[in-house]
Amino acid sequence: MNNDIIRTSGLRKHFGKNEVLRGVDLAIPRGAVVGLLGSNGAGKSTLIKCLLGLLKISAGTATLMGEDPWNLSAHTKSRIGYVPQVVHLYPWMKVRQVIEYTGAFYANWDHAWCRELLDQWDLDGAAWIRNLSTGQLQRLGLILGMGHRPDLYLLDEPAASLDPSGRRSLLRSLLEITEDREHSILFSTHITSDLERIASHVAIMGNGVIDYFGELDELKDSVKRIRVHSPVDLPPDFSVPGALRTEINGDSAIVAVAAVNDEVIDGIRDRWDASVDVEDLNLEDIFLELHDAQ
Amino acid sequence: MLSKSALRQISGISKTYLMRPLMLCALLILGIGCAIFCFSSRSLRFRDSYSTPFDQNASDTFHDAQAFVRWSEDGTVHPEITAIDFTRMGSAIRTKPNDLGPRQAEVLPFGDLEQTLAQFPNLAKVQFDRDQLTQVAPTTLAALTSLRAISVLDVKVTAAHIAALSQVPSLEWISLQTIDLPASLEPLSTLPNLSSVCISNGPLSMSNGPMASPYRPETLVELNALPSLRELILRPQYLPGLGYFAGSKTPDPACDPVLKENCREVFADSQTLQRLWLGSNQSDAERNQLAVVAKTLPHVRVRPATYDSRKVLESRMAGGILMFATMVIMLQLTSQFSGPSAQLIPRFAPVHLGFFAAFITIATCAYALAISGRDLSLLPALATFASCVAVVAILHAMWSVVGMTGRQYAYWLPALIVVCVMYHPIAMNFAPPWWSAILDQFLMGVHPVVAMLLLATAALVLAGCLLLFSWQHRFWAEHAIAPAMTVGDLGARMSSLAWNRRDDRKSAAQIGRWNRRLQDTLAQPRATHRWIARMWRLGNSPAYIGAIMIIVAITFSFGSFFRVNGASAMDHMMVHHSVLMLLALPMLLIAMQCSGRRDTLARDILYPVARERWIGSVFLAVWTQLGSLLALAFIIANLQIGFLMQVPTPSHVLRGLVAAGALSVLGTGVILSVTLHRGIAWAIALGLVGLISTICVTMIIVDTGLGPSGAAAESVRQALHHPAVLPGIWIVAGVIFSLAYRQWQRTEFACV
Amino acid sequence: MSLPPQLFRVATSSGVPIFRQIMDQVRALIACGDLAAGEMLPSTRELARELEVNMMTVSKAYSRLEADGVVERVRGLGMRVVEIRDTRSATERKRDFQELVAPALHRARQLGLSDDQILSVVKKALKDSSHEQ
Repeated sequence: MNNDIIRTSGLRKHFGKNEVLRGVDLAIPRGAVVGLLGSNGAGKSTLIKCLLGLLKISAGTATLMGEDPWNLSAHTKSRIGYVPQVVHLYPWMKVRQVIEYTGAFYANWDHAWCRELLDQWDLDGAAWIRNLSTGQLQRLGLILGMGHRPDLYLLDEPAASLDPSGRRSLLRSLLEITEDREHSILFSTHITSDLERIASHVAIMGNGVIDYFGELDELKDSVKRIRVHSPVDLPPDFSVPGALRTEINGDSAIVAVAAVNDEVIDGIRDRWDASVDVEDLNLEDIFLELHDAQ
Repeated sequence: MLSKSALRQISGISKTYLMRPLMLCALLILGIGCAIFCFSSRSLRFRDSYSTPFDQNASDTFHDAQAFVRWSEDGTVHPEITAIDFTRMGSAIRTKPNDLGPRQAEVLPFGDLEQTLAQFPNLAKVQFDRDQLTQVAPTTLAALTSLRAISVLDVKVTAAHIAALSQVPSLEWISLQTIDLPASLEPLSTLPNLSSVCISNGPLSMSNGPMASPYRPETLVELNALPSLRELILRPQYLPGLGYFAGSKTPDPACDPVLKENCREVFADSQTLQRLWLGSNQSDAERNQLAVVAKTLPHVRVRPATYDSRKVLESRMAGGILMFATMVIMLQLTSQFSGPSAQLIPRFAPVHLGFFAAFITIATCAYALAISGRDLSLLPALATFASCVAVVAILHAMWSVVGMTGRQYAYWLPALIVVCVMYHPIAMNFAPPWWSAILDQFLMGVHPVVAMLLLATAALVLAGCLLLFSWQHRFWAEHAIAPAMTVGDLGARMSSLAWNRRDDRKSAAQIGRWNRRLQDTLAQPRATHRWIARMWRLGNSPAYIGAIMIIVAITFSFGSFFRVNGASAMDHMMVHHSVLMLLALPMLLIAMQCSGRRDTLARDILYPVARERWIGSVFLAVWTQLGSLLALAFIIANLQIGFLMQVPTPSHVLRGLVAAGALSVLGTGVILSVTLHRGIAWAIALGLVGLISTICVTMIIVDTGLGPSGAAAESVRQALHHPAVLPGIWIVAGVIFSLAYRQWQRTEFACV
Repeated sequence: MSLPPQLFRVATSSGVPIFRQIMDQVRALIACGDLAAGEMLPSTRELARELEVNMMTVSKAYSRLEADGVVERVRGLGMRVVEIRDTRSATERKRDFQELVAPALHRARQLGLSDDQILSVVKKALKDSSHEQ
């Protein structure tokens, strides 16, 4: 309990008749970099907003740094950094002014770091907010959310509007942050390549529940695609324990399996007298397999 | 209940207001207003448009009653006295105690009048109170060789008066203030130097006897016969019924059209008359008649004897509203509701300035049109409109220019101009005659010309201001229009940003880049057309503008529900409108500002402040802003009431204060509730609640009712005096406030 | 002193977890002689920065390698490649080598080389490698 920076249990949220979160259970340890993966409309933004107290939880419990999200204390809020999907700023301010204005609220705002980030991310400090492009706004939003060096970062689709170089810069900055393992990051995305590098844990969300939560490496180790070649045509009732998706083409089959180990492979070899090739899947493939399995 | 940090926040917010030069101007104006308020408890009288010798230098006119009595007893000669005003001595002398009966006390000092005047050999001007002229020995009068001007204020001017006057050969000016002039003016033709005669209204008499109007044709003929008469002033006070006292069936000669008609006939062949001040020009009919007279007397300069006081009032009202409006704009620019530890209050809002300037201009013009009633024809109305726009533009531009120079005392300049606009009727008392002539020209109805001139001047001034700063860095010039910041301020800010970053090499490079950019901009040819347009465009969405228009139209057309009966009702109408606008404007502006912050609420709540504390500080900040603006409005409203109606009693003021306080609480609740709701229906519903309460509070502050007839108005007024009204308003305010507070506590800010 | 981190490459979108890729690459570098016994591996931070991956991934790879006995932790300095001491019998070791040789011989036959030519190539290779050492 002490080590979990975010903990939810049976979290539900509905908007009128529409139930978006249907019982989310999550326990994120301190120092983890969690990628929240899910298709559009799965409820990622809603989950993050519930955790911050921007939305009221309909049922279930949640704690953020040990506190109820609806009534976060000032101290906790100073340790959280949130970057929303769409950043709302006053169009009549300039970039530098917005940063100074936001910085005035926090006791430990790192002005030098903000200036560095401005340079690094190629933002003009004297540009008007109303003239910024979406990508530039997103970058500014990131600076505003990170400038006070929070312990917990909550990023809602941070790289969605960034170009590849922007994305790379963002990842670099996030990697720098996580070097000391004291900082936790939860970021939601539907671009899997961002996660591969940086995430230590991955939470896959579908239809308002968390389908999988665990370490990324374990996920990659356990979800594999198996090609089965047998000398004779495979019967229609061919199945593999723990299969997510099975595709039979005459004497060969492609099976996506959730938990692969030697037992399973030997079992297939023995039972159907077939040769088995195990294929590694990257995160995108894993996500698609898990998603299609619904 | 108020913690230290809350107190600090309140003081921070209040300091923001008080530090603004605008607030200092406002305080100056209020100070002047209060000073005038203190010295006079009557409504102001507007100065006559002509000048008399008795207007100037009131300070060296001798009017010390006790000194006079002493001197008349000891017989000392005083060559330094050149002017005596007996009309101001009256009350002092009457209070002098003495052991004779009261009647004798009145008569006693003036018993010496026979010879006393001889003690003042250099006497040039004297103003006699009742009966005094006849008591002076004719030889005494004749011996005063410097005596040039005599004014007689009496119930009846008899042949004795005229005879006395005709004894003074050096007399140049005669002023007869009376409503009963049975005497013939023929003896006055012996006076060789008599060039000016003024006949104006005098005190009412209690007698039932018939009265001879000073304006009857016979008198006019006698005036025409005066050999050296150059200037004639006829300023009647028309009292209907007086003519009937005399049993006459003919119309009272003091009646304005009759007088003008008679003058036209009598003076048509005058050889010597150069200036004629005649009657009044309050309405179109009167103005037309005066024009006819002027045409008939081509060699005479014909002018009205009184100002068109209504026009003067209009301009003063507009000026007052304008001043208040400018004040509110500036306050809006420098304020926002902010979290407890925000240190930076943004001051850069050229777009907001543009929008509100446009709104205030439109509102001011609509108001000016409204108070002038509906008997203005189109062209003068447009002219009024144009002149209002022009005045607004000029003042804003001047303010910007002046503010930018950064000279500490330059901020007073626009304020002084507005003060002059507002208070020029009072200032007229001290102005030279040529100024009143110019103003008279303006008020005779050459509005369009003046309006065009004003507009042209405004355009020129604006262009000048913009061009003046075109060579500056664009960033500076754009910010210059936000008058809260001077060039010096801006420069200091830029260089302090640079100063803060002096330490690292990167910052040094950036400072170098910034300097180079500045040099480039200075060197490049001026491309001013683009950013001129940009600075004055309206930044807010059409929906807001539409909403403002609807509200203004509603306020404007309120007047058509109520019929105006007589001049005092007109005054009430004006004051009502004015106070309503004064109360509604701040609420409107703060609502605009709050709704502009709607999108950033989700950010604001994540700043390091607990939810309860943040909501509390939001409500507190909005209430503070609204409260201070309403307090200002309340003070101005009471000043206007004092000028136009009568001085409000303390209990009246207190009731108004309590009502205004309730309105500030209610307004806070309404504004903040509307901020969270995006629906139009809710905004309209709450807006109606706000509007109705504002109207009620207006009626309480002004302490008259409104209604289709006088009786209805009176019954409304009585209803508002019911003891349950004030507590009722407070209860409604409290309910709405707490509803809004609970709503904020329960809102999910991600959905706002 | 320590191995430059530029020698490592990872493919993030491959199905193989990144830590396993690093482990395999360390083993490959040792096998082809680029990484000798006693040499230091790049620090976790350096390698993570170079590869732009999470530091935890790199440290997981290093921990697994340590558990497998390929490298050892030197306090204060980092990870050092361990001296490989093969304790198996000569027969087993020769069989290991035989397995490696078989495909090469097969290839030589395909090239049409005679036994003597093959032997001369092997002798030359031995001479060259002893010169290097």
